[in-house]
Amino acid sequence: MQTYDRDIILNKITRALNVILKAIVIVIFIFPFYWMVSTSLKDLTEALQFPPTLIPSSFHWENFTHVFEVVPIAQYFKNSVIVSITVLVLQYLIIVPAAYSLSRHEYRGKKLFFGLVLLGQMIPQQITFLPVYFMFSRMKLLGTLIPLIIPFISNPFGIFMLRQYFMQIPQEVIEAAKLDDASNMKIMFKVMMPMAKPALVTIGLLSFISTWNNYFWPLIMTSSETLRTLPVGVAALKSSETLQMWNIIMAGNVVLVLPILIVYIVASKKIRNSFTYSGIK
Amino acid sequence: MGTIQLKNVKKQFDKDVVIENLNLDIEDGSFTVLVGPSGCGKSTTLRMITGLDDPTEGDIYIDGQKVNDVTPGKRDIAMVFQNYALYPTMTVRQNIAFGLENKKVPKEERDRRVKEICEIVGLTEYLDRKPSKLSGGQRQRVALARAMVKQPKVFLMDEPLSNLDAKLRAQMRVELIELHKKLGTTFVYVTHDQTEAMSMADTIVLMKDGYIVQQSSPRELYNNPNSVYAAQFIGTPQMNVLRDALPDGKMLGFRPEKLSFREMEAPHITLRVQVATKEMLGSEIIYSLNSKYGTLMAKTDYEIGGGAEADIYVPFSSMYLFGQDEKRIELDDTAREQIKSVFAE
Amino acid sequence: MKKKERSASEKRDRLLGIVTASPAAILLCVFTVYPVIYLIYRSLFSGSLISTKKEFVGIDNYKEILFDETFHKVLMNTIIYTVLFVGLTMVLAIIIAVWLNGSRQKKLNNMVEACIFTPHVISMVSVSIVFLWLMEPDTGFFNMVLTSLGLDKFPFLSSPSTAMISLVLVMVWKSVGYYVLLVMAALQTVPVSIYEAAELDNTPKIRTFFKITLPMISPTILFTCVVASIASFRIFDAVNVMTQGGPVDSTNTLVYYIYAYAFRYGNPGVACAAGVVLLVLVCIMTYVQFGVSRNKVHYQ
Repeated sequence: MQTYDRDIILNKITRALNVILKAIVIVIFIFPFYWMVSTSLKDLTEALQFPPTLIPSSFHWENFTHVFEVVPIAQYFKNSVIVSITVLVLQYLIIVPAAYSLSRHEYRGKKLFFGLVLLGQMIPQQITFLPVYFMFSRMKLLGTLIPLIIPFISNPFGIFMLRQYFMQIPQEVIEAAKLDDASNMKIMFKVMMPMAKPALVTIGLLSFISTWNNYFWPLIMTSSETLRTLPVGVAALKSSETLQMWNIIMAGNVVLVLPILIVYIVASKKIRNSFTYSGIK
Repeated sequence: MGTIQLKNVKKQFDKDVVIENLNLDIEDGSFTVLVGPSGCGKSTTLRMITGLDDPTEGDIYIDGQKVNDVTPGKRDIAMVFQNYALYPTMTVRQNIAFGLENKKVPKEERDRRVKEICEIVGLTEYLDRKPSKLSGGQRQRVALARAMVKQPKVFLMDEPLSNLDAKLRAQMRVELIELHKKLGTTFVYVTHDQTEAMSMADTIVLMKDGYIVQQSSPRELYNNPNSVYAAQFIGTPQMNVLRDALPDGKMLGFRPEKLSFREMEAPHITLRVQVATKEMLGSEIIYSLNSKYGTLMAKTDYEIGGGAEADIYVPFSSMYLFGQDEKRIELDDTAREQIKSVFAE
Repeated sequence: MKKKERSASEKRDRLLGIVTASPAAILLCVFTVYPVIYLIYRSLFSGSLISTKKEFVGIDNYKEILFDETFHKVLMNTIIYTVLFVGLTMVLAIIIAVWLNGSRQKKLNNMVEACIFTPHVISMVSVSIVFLWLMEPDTGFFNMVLTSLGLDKFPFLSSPSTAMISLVLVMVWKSVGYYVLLVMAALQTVPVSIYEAAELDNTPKIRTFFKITLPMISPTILFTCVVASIASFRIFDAVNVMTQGGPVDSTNTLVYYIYAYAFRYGNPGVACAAGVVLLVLVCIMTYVQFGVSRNKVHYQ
């Protein structure tokens, strides 16, 4: 009886320990974001003061108006939105037919095409950027947002994932639609696309997040300030005249983080599942 | 009019010839069942009628019109698939109305027809559910309703009951027969189950290795099989065929339910047997009997102990004679004499 | 005659397949195949970024990086970074995943998972800037905490000896949540009955982990390590935002080197040659990845 009691106590201790450890882990991963927000609301003296204050003594919202004055952050934001949304929409026009073709048609060169899709997944931007830079330079397109959009609309991962989904659709369902006198277009839009909806959502989420966050590509492909996207603009904040003005830098950073954070909070589970799928495919 | 003709049809997948040369006539309004073991070409035949597969050679006619180049959707047919093949993202209503929408049937008529059909098959309260929320039997009904609503010339069914449990299957069998009577449309039904074929069909097309063994009514197929294959395909236990008893490779067949342990008046032969196993079915007993010519099956209400020896009697009127090529041959007087002399020894 | 009609419908089907595939195929050719070929071709030329004039120099660009001590350091750094990052991340990810998997506080676990995954969806730029601020040598939060505890300040990114490990820590913080999810997915594939059998055999938990869990998930872990390594070769964002490769090249990595050669020193020929080195590395690792993934399938 006594050992039984001891077991219960031991159990309670383990559970409490578990809760404490988990709380610590949560703090480790949330604190930097908290610190970012907190700094963005302090004045510069308080931001640099020792000992640091966890909660700003007064909220300096003017940091945000300030950051909009020092750099054209509204322009960056607009560019980021244009690029992310355009890539998101245009890619469906490319990858849906491509995935359909790979899953439902037979033709010579299909294997080659599939190889291309795999190659596209394998070769990173960090290898292709110089030749692509030269290409857009020769085409005199570096002064536009096109170099930030076109290379990403043939999303090979999207084609690959959608192909898997289309292939799982039972042949009989498509045959039933054919017997119901549905056209190819109708089969695509009324039968196959609704069945592949989870894949389409996953592809959209992953594409939006990665385009929004992309720093490397826009850094290389944009020379003028008016074409910069948020990550490039915010990264540049810490050099120029805002040097060491951490409260202003953090305010800019909040603008960059917030949209993705909102998307993540709304669709946390869905996004995590999407990333898990992309990792174990 | 829902007649179907296949003329000199050949079907080949890559190098595999599935059907060599098939000629088939299906009458308007008939309930035709294509039956045979898996791989006999029955499903391929059905798919060629639908147009989902094209014949390699030969022509297909529906209602007297050649349909080789008509797309499946325009052939005025409907099909019920083995796994139902419902559209999972659509509600029951949308599933049923999909074909009508594609045919540009006006909305009011569409709604009316969907409602009508659902009352017939008893789906009215499930109209707004997705297929995943339905039981197997209900899905089956949706598949049926989806086919019926199109008012096609021909109904095609590919093993539609094989995913149901035994009780539901029996019930659906009856319902399908009634439905056929009510609609009077041509039904073409594919199955590997001889019981299903016998109980539902008015014409059975028995197939094997891509050709038709026999096409006739169930009664005719049972009473007058044209070959050993046809004779043994129908009936459980299958027909006893004595392969070594007669000279010249001739074979003698008789059904287990037609032999008797009781002495009879009618002209007959007698065989000495020993009871090997005994299987009680209730109203009847199935015996397996050891005889001079191998194991024989018997189905009778006569009681006899296991291991016991007995005489069995087979009347000439229930005998079938097959030639060396396993085809049926006539049981004429000479043959009777021959058999008599063999079994008199 | 009939044959012809039939092949016409087949032809249409084939044509539709090719038509629907071609936009993607063309884009992939233009932005993947052509760049790879051009990269190799361009690495044999000198010339500048701005003018289109270039001169064939054979393997001179390769010679240049071969004898460039910075390049040696860069390669070394990239490998050290990869080993540290992958090793640390995977060990932490396995520990956290097994820990979460084994405890029953479902709601809390979900919260922990959501929190440790958050940095993965946030841009590398934001994370770099925040940590640059946290690791600031004088006024940064970390050093203020160390000071108030009476400890010495830690130089973090400002000293050549500690910059690399600081960089690795930031990257581990950003990525570990993602790998926790992957390991947890692998853990889900281990049948519960095996654990139950082990429990009936009175197996200690540590032994269960090393003798059952780890061997069961090791094929997936190996595969994940290879994929993580390939991703590590490409590190650039954090380096460019936090250290620009410094101090004294202590965090200079391959992609940063390529970038700097092209856009800082205006020598795209050498940059392309270094790019080819990256290409070779990626190819080798992808080959390994396919080998490992075949193994993974075989295991299951």
